Amino acid sequence: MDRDRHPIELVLYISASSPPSVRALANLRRILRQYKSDHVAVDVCDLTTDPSCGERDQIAFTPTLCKRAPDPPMWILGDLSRPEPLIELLEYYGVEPTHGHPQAHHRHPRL
Amino acid sequence: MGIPKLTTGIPGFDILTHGGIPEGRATLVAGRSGTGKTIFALQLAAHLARHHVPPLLVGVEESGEDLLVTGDGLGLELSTLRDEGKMFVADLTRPMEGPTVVSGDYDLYGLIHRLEAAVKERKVKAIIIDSATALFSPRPAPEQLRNHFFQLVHTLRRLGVTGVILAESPGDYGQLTTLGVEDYVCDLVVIMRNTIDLDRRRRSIEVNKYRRSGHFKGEYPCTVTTRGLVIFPQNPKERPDFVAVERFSSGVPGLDEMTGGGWLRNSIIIVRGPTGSGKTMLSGLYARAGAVRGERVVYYGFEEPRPILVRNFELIGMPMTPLINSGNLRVICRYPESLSLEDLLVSLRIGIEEYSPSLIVMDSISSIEHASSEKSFRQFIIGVAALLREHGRSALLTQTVMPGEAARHTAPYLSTVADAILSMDYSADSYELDRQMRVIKMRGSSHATNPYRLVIEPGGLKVEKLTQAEYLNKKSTKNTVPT
Repeated sequence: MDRDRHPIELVLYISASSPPSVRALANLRRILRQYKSDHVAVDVCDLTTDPSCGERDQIAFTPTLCKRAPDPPMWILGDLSRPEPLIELLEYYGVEPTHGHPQAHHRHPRL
Repeated sequence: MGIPKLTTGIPGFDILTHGGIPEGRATLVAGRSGTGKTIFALQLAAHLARHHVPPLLVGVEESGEDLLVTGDGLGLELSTLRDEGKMFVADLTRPMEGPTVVSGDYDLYGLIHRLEAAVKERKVKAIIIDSATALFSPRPAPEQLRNHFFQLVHTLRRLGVTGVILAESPGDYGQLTTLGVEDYVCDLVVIMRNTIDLDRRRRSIEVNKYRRSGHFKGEYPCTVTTRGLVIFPQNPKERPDFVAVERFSSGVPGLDEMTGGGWLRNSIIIVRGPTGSGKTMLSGLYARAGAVRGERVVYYGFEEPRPILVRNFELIGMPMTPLINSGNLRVICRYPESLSLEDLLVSLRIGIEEYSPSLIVMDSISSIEHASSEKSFRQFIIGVAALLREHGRSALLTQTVMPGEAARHTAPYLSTVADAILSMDYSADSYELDRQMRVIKMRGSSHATNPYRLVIEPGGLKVEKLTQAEYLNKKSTKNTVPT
């Protein structure tokens, strides 16, 4: 993967009504801070304020973390209390850890 | 009164459920794959859409578009209904495109928000999900699954919509669904089955549970036609008290005398006897009498190919061809081995609805009996009787029994189904084959109980009463033909 030009695109679908969603946001933030921010593009989509944003990826469960790019699509269901699936995904695509320098991911205000 | 219900428009189903599915509540339709659940859902969607109950069809295994296409193939015109805004579809198929991994707890709010939006913006009044099994995949732990399902049904209640949820069963009997929980939370549970019974496919549907409502119990035969699912309830609309007033002449004076005035209208007559006793002849007489009078008759033959049947009738002075040509008589011959009983029932129903015959002949049901299982045959006969009574038609069914056994034979349900039973037999102790018949039962009528003789003459048949002396004489020297 050419990580300089193609960051991984992730979308986290959450709902304000959903307790696991709140945990997922915190867990996602925590995990991503360990990795270089320019390798990962993250978006957060709150279905309570914008129900139609879930339609594109046909989201039924919350929280769902969806890898939109690169192909193939992948879904990680759940609050990320088990970080392994996400970490394995990031490492598979060669996302570099920050080695002790946590980075904020400024692409999205909630992160 | 009763709980509010929505009719489904699926032939026979609204009878089984005394009026349809519970309005504002959840219905579960369970069955192994291939049992017709999706077809049920599509027919229901079409009916609701046409009756001011806009449904949202949620496709998980198949996309909404694919479901519409399937429905169009059944003549339901779902695409048109969707284009007219009378029904809506939603897709939840994308997650099937790639792997889904679980990282912790989750809930159903994605779907819930989507359903809320549909109800609020599009005024959806029913939500049909095909299927819950596909939706909850990968399958979570039982406790979580239960919670998810409760959440789903609770949302449907909260939104005030009628829910229909399809779910897959691991087997035809035993545990109801692969998920194991849905039947507890749904008010109506319907099970669809498609089993193999002596090499024959046998489809059935069962109303397993219906909270706060009466319903027909047990399995009922159903079939899938090019127009969708058709169910055959065995107890049709209440039959009016049998009033055996109207009769029609058989065209043979002796026969009219024997039956006490002619064949009864709206009755099912069984003519029973060994091969060679004249059953087919009698069937032919019955059919001709109707057709000659200008009524429409359908003759179903399962014993011989059509050309031979028609020729045989001609040879005994009962030409059928002119009646066939005039449109009053239809002769349909089938090989029972290649027949699916459900298809035959459907063909009968369609034939009755389209051609509107007043008389139906089936010669012989024994051919069908031998080519199917006891259970299938029983369901078939009861289905036929229900169909006939529902439409108020008369029928004559022939049944083959061994010589000498005519009086003794038979499964109780056949005797119950028949309004009249004629028994025929023959003896070969004289130079001529001596055919006799007598009326064993004729509901609601006084009739002769003595034996009559059936004589084939050039130009037709004659039926004449036997004197007691003749009868006793015959009996003492009786020498039945071995088979």
